[in-house]
Amino acid sequence: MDDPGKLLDNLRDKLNNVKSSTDIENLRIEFLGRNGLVNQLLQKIKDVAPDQKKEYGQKVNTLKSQIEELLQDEEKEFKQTTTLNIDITLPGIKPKVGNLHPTTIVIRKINQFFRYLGYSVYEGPEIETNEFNFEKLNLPKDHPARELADTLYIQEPEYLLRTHTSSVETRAMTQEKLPLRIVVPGKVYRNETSNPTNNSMFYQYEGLIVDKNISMADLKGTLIAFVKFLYGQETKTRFRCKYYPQVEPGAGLDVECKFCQGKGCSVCKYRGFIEVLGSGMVHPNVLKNCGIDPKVWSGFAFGMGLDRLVMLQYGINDIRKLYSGELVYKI
Amino acid sequence: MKLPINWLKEYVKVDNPQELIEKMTSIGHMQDGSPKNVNGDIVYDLEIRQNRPDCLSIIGLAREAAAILNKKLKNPLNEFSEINIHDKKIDVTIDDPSLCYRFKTFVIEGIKIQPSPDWLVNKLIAYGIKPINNIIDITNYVMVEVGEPLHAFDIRDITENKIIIRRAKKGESIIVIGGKKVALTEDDLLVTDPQKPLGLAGIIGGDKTGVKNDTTTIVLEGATYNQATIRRSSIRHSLRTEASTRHEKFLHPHLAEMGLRRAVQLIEKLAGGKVTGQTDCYPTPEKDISIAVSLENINKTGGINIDVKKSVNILKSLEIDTEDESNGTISTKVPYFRTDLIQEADIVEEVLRLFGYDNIPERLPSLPPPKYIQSKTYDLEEEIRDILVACGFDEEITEPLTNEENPALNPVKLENSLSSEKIMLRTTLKESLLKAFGEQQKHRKNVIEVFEVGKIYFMESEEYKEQRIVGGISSYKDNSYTHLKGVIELLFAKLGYEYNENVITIEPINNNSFFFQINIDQLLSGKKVTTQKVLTSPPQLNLQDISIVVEKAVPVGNIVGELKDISPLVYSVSLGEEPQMINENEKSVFLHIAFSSPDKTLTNEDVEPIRESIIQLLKDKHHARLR
Repeated sequence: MDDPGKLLDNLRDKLNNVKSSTDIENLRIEFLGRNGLVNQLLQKIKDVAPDQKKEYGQKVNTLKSQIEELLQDEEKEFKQTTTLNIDITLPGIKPKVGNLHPTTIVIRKINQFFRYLGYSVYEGPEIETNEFNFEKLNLPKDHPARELADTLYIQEPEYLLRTHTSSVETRAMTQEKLPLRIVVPGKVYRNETSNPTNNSMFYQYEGLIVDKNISMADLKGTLIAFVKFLYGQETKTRFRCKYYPQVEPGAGLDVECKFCQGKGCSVCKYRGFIEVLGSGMVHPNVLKNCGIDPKVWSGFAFGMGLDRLVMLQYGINDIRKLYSGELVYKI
Repeated sequence: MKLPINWLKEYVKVDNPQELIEKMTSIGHMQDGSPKNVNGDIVYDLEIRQNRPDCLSIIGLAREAAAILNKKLKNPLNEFSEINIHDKKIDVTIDDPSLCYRFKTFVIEGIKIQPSPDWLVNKLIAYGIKPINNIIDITNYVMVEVGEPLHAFDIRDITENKIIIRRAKKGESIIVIGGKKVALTEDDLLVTDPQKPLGLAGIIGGDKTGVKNDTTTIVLEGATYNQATIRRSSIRHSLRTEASTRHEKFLHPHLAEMGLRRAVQLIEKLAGGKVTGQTDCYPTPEKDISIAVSLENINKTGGINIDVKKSVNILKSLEIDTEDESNGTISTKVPYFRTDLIQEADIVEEVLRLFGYDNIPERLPSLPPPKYIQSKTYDLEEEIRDILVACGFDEEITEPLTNEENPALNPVKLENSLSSEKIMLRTTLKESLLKAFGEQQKHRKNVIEVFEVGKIYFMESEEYKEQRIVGGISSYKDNSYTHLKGVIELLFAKLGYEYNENVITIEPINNNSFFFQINIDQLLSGKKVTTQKVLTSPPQLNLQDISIVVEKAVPVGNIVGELKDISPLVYSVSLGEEPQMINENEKSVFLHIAFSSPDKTLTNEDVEPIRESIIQLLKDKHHARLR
């Protein structure tokens, strides 16, 4: 048998010249591979005298583990030295990508839920007519919501800036085939003096379903599933009666105030709950106004303001900042 | 509406006020704010919705409380006897019956003005009204208890004992209680005598015509007005009173009768007077309303299972009388004070809200989703946002209301904006993006790229137009223009549309910043192309470089485009470096051309004829010379 010491010296020499981890891998193959030097030694066992076979085998195995150890040590050392050439504590260089507006991010999140339930995003004009914004929505001529003080008119009374995204619902009900499931995110306008909580333009998100046998139970299930998607499965909700002219029966959905756990605080105006959604069964008058037979079809509608949600999520305390070009994103 | 619990307890037994208020919230009267302690009484604040003026009264709220608590209601309005006085004493004329539906007066003589007893004073203080004297306090008390605002005049102030309800005249004015002088318009409604205004109808009385310390005979009036008229007057003159809050909603004319009778009862008791005159001007009495509601409709709408008996019990608890419950249909008689109940759906809601919204099950609609009708433009806009964000642009959303004119387009103007900065809709995204750009500069960024996906608005052939656009501003190191053009080319390629200069505007902002705007509606009608290739193996390319010199004015982009089209074997044409000026009139252009064929690996001999024709084209068309 060759001197195992020689084999080890040979390896040590070669390790001194290693330049990359590939070199180490090649040495491993040369020494420990299937046809490597160690295996060649082992195959020679057939030429060894029977009484020495055991001793020979042990020697080769010892040699094998010594070689393995040497190779492993080298590998470790090699990795350390190469890594040490870099200061791994240096901050990473982030690629420059842009950022979506917070309102877009929130709209996308809500779209995600309703598209899962089969709703399509539907659009309509912002310059609306009295017919779609008010008349068809069961907002009679003398209704307070129609007062000049709230509506921005382009040509009173016929043309105006839509005061809610519900105008898109009357358009969809008038134009599209039934059954119908739509959601409408979009800009709406009110004639208000701007302040930190009110702006003359803001965002609403509305939804509508018209089908056969739609009930308040479907409305309640949908809205509660939605707020749990948005605020977490543990969210406590309150589903209560609330009046809106375009629905009957009407309902509001509130979530328990996170800041006081329902005890009442300044954030929830001491109500313990925060109003999230207004909703209800589409008023039979509205269905009729859109050419739908309320004896055959029923539906529900819901709506929410988006801005407060966005502001809470991103810690923005002035709605005017959201839409004035003053947002600068930092990651 | 403030709700002092001790006052409420006069009409209904309440064991646990907080529990009651939670139930009231559930049936539509939401608790607003935390309860206040006023002299030992707990006072809650409830948000009463627009359609329920009956609940702007303690009796109205007691009725709801009795129904939800399943308790008996003790209603003082059920205890009156007829007042058999036929002498009028006052003549009432309503000029326009579409503005005033009823105006009724009682003349009460022999009154002694004095402070009200403690029980009355305490109730008013708990509610938040300052006590003054017995007559004024009683009118206020009845307004809060019954929900009908009343007013008492001193008969000495009514000239000729005549009252006329008419529109204000041009230039007319009135000094109201508190001394404020109000300049009136012809849309305001007045209670007047032949000489002067006595009060602003439904809102506030005149300063000098009310009850005085030496008053002995009063004219007590209760009326019902056109709600919109009152609301607009109240907004117009910033006069929001307890009276206007009620009169601007649909009060039933019979409530005026009820309120007056209750007040007469109290005045006789507390001020010692006697009714000597009664006038009632009620040109068109309201009709009783009956509504039939089907049990099936209640159950289908609610997604519940309730029986006739329970439905009837709920309705009766709200004083909605029912009869003939056969065939699953309940005939109901709407009580006068429920002016919100007009049709079947309204009755359905009554049953459901008292059944309890908490008891309605939760489920998701089980029907298959309908046809997909998602707007294509919406999807395209979302794609544009994603691509621009990936290119490093930050999204802005800016308010479309502005005062910036743009000579190119006829703007859509607003008739009634409150702000001089918001008088029209924008016709470009440039102004608001410039503002956003300026804001970013304040943050000392060296690369600024912002965009907005939105609309511009304009008039075109007498029509209002809304056009979808994406606009942006780019300030990118020292080569903003070519960078921005590259972004736009990439945007078109990624969207799968042919690059079309006609839908793009690029304008310089300064040396190194550019504004761009793309018309999305026109983009959508453009040609669809597949510019994004998917390669499964590296292409075998034959590369050729051609270095030329052309005159300064030759557009290099055109050359690149022409070479790309010269043969199907041209795989790509790019510039080896930016064109360089070699003298005053000429520039060098280093063209980098790759050839490829799906059939074979191209040799120099294969591409030589194309190279020749390229050189020919450069020489003939662009007067280029080879370097």
